[in-house]
Amino acid sequence: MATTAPTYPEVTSAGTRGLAGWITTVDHKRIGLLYLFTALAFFILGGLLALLIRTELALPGGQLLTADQYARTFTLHGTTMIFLFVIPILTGLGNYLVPLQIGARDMAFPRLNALSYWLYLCGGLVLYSSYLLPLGPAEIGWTGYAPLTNPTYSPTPGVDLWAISLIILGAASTMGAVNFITTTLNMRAPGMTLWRLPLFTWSVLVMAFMVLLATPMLTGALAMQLADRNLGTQFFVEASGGDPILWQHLFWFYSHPAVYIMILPAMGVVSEVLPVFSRKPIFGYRAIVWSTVAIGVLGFATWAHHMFTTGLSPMLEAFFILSTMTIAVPTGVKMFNWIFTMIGGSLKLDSPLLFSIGFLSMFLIGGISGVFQAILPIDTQLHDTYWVVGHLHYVLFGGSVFGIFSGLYFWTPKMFGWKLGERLGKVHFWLMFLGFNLTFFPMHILGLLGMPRRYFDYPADRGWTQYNQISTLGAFMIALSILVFAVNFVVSARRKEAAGDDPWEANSLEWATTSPPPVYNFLRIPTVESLRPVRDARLKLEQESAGAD
Amino acid sequence: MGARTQSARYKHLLRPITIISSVMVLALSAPLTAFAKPPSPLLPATDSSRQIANLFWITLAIAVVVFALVEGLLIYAIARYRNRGKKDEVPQIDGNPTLEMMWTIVPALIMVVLFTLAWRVLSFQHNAPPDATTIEVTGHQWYWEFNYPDTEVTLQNELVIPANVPVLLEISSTDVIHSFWVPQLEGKADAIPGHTNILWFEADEGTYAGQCAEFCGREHYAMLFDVKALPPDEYDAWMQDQIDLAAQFQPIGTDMETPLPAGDPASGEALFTELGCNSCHTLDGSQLVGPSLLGVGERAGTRIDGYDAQQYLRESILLPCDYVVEGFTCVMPQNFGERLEAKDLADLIAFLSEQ
Repeated sequence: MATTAPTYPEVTSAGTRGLAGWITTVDHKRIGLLYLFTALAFFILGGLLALLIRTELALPGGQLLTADQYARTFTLHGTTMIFLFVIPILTGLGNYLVPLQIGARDMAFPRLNALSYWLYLCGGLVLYSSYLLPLGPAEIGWTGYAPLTNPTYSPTPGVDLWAISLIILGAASTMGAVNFITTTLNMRAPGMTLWRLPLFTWSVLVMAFMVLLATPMLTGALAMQLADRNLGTQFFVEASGGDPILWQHLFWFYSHPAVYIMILPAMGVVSEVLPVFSRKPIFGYRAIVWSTVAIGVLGFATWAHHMFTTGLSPMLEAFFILSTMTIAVPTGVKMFNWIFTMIGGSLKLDSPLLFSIGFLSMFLIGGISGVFQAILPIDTQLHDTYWVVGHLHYVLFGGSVFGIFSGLYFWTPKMFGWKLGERLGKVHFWLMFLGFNLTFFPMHILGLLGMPRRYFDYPADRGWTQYNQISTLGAFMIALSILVFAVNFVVSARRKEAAGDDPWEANSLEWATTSPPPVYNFLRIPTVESLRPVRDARLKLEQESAGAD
Repeated sequence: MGARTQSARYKHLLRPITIISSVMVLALSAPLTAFAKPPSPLLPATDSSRQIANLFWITLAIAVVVFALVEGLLIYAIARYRNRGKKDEVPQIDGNPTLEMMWTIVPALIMVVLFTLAWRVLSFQHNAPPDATTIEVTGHQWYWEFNYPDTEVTLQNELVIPANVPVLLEISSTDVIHSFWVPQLEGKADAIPGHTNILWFEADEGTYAGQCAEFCGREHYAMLFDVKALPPDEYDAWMQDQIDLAAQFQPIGTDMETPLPAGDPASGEALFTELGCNSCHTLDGSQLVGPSLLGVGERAGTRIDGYDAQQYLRESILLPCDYVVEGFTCVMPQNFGERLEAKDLADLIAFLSEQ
């Protein structure tokens, strides 16, 4: 006889209703949703900036923008996508899911959690307020190299606003990291040893450690940049004994770990989706954990591969070639673990799985193209060309963004109580997959044909034009696919087809409660006896029903 | 029973899938070989860039094989194990230590091979022969300056070198970071103020396109230049001509008193573009980095007490930071006194007086 569904008491309190409720919330689920929607809004903004870039580059000659406007556009595109979209949306997913996955009622520090979100929003607004300045936003690339950021060469206070916004965002990230680490290490349900921690939570934990250790370097570098610009210090000014290369070391010491910060949680999503949609456990759970930790540690040892053309000493060159090649190994290991999860399984090719498969194939290409760049002599040709633009988008978009969408399709039923429509989901996937490859694969060819990056215009006689045009076509396909996603969201929300607690027959604890969960997450904190507690409970229930019949 | 039948039905997909993926990837690489055009680094013209290109092709071969294998495996997994409405209970296999060890060790070994190949080329790049012809390269916003040591010869945006002998470039910058890149000759080296980076190579005869490859501000995309590699005797003859020209070159300097000859506005207009003045100053009222020069002919005499238009224009060109128009920072090159002869200056002033 099946047990009757328990009744979940409703918890209401003054101030949780309406807009005031959202502004004052300290509930990790609401904060997670705030992150999600804000990050998607910035994704659209950053995407529009990308469309401006691609439209300008479709033909030689300046058409749409001036060279200055173009530089502002690519500066804000990069900064937005990294700091206002990918990092926050993964933080948002983490916020929503980590307490649920470990069987906790909220994060360790709920008010700190809320503060992190509002600082994030604040940082984003500060960055975009630079459009109101007479001289406009920063024109320095998302990398803001000295001496270009010196006021002599960049008089606009847009650079100061850029630096300030990143400092604010860094503070928000660091607070989030403290929260994730404390929560995960201290608030797990009984029986949930670290070896039973879901892989998404593992990835957020390692990411959080990386954020904690790397962000201060960026904050310090930005403070030095602000001081050089406003207080007369000479940190990056060679004429007074400073060194512009110092900026690069400090910046990349953060920004290289940042790329792993951006990929690990997306990999965590894939590690959750694949077992559910293959109907078998993840292949090599411990190997994936160790690989994740290895990437988290090694990620701090590879930064100067961004500086291979600056004239490093031969010893440093050798070290960074080796460290970069080494980090490819745990990354490759995970690739095989994922594919072997699918082999021997029973694959349900629904949208969450499609996007995870997209992740696997695109991240493979991005990872392989990165190996070319690790080989320093080859990098002296590829660095600062469109090859790098292709590579970075294959790992960040083909990797992180496809992983993010896999997670969105997977966890929408949990967050809202209804699934995103399958038919439109497939349209979204195929349009985005095709558009993505059309946009970014030709860029590898452009790099090999000698086209540098951050070029506002290019000569017509180098054979670059047709590849740029294919790329622009792809970009508009991606934009269309996002529109499809938005329509799917609205249509599915209206349809309100109840998904139930566990629509995918999944494994981890977030599926052990209602969709959406009550504000207190679980009626009773469950005791966990394996890596797949919800599957255990489901099998037990089936056995009991079978026995009773 | 059902599983075995399925297995027999789909096992044969593995090989064709791998072949198809390999063909796909090779097809995508075809444009490189068929359509590589200058300044592609895949059209190398020195031993150094040939070594880099070869290293690229070896790496590409390994990459294609790895991609085809892994992608093929993925496609096989999807095709073979797709649920076609049957029961979805499958063996709950969660690992295989032998396999896992293999796919950790094999990639590591591939990396060792690649590192060794990389190190060989790197050592070649680092060991410049002692007798190389040395030329100083300086990046500026937004042009390249080439100085031939022990001579007074200076070139702009065109580098002439002897072919088939070692040439060594000492690369730096006076303002922001630029990057010196002639893909067919060598990898790029950043031009960093306060640093000198070295590139060396032996070039085949020919002309090669160069570009700036580090974002350096507005005209970054326009910092194009050419490298001409001449057979040694032609180079010597050319150098002699340059030395003679340089000897005759008499820079005006920053002295405000030296009388100037009559200036020709048409020549001045040509200089205005050649010297890059138009990258910061427009003639139509729109504003770039510097003030627009529309109407400067009339304004010039009113800017500084005691300066007539001629004096104002002269000082503005030779000593640009002595008086800076309100609202602007002085980023104008301050070396026009060394780059202009008296006639050049007179031409420029004549041209500007007409604006």
